[in-house]
Amino acid sequence: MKVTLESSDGQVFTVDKEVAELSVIIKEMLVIEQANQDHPIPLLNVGAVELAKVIEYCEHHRNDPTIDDDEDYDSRKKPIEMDDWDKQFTIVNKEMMFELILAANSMQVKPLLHLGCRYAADIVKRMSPTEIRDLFQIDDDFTPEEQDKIEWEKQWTKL
Amino acid sequence: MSLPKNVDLSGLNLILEQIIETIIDRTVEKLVERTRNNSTGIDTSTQTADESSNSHTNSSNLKGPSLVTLEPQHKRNVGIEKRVPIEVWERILQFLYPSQLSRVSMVCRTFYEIVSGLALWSEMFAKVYPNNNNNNNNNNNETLLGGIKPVSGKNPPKDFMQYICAASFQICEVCYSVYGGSDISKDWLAFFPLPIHVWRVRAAAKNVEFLPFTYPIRPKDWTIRLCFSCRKMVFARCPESVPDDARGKSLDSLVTKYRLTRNEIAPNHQSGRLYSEEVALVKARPHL
Repeated sequence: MKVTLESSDGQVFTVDKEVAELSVIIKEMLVIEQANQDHPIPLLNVGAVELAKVIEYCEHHRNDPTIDDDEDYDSRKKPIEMDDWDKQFTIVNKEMMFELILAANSMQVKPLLHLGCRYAADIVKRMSPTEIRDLFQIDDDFTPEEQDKIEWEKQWTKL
Repeated sequence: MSLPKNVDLSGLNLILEQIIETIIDRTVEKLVERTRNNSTGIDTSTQTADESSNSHTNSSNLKGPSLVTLEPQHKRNVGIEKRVPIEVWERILQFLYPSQLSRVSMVCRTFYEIVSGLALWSEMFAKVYPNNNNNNNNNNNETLLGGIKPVSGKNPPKDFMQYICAASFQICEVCYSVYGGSDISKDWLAFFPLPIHVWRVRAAAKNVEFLPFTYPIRPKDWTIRLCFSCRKMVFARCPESVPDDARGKSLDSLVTKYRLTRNEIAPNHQSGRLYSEEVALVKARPHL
């Protein structure tokens, strides 16, 4: 059975039902709208480029066992396993990765969200505050007094 | 050849004195700040901001505006750090160690709010001050930060982070255990949490048995502080490698081979000598 999805800029994608059901949101929508499946499901927060990428990921992982998201684990100590396909998949630029995280979050594709967050954490944890500001184009909005206070508070990180 | 009997410990003593002085200084300042806050009931950050400039009062309040009140039509123009909702940031930040988190919090006000609101700090705090409610005589309570006990503040999460940061030199970042030895013995430095490169901790977590001697340590791989038992575990899983030509030789021969001896250092001593010059000196030895 096929399902049609429509991105925010109007592009229509046709995918298998079990592929689309990796997204929790679409799964719930399909349960509700079982009667009328003629019109495509609108995804207002997801652009066409990101949706294509998400569908590519879901196609590859269609047979994976579902992850129990409520499982309590310490993610600092347990690195998740990435296969070669996932490694290839994550070779995109940083802006694209954050767009993918946003798309996965709004569509609730849990494994992709986990993968993307891990990738983003790898980027962020190597950087100094100045580099993070440059990456996200954030202004330093601390006042000089607060700056001094925080610098003093975080002497830990100077080592 | 044996280890030298009379090691000159004056330098070490100086370092220890400096460490203790800084810890005491931090403690005293923290205490003064605490008492002032408790008497007036005003948060220090807003207080200093108010004193500095009245015009910036609104913008310099650390609580700031809420993050996800953006209207959808402006979405594409807003910076990515504002569009990513808080729960996604929390998901990303759960992969970071505490010292890495505190570095992220120095970026801007939004990040400071997100990081200081994480549940991690209260978890760490509960481990660091285990019998906070019972008022039992606990060893950790007496020795950490010179025995100062936390006062329940107005805004708990931020307070937790500040306490953890103030006591950070005594806390292990992996198991959150505290080393609070009050007596300074020869084992003191050995049991103190010491910085270890993150790549080694990561390799140990993945059960990589051996890293080559020439493993590239990238400058961006920061260090985290580990306690004695965590360090032991990391080095048991991922042992420190030695160069191939050094296998099976005694430690004495290794030291004389790769380090400059006292006799070599004294006549050639220069403060700004390059590492390559030292290597050249070692290589110029007749017996190599």
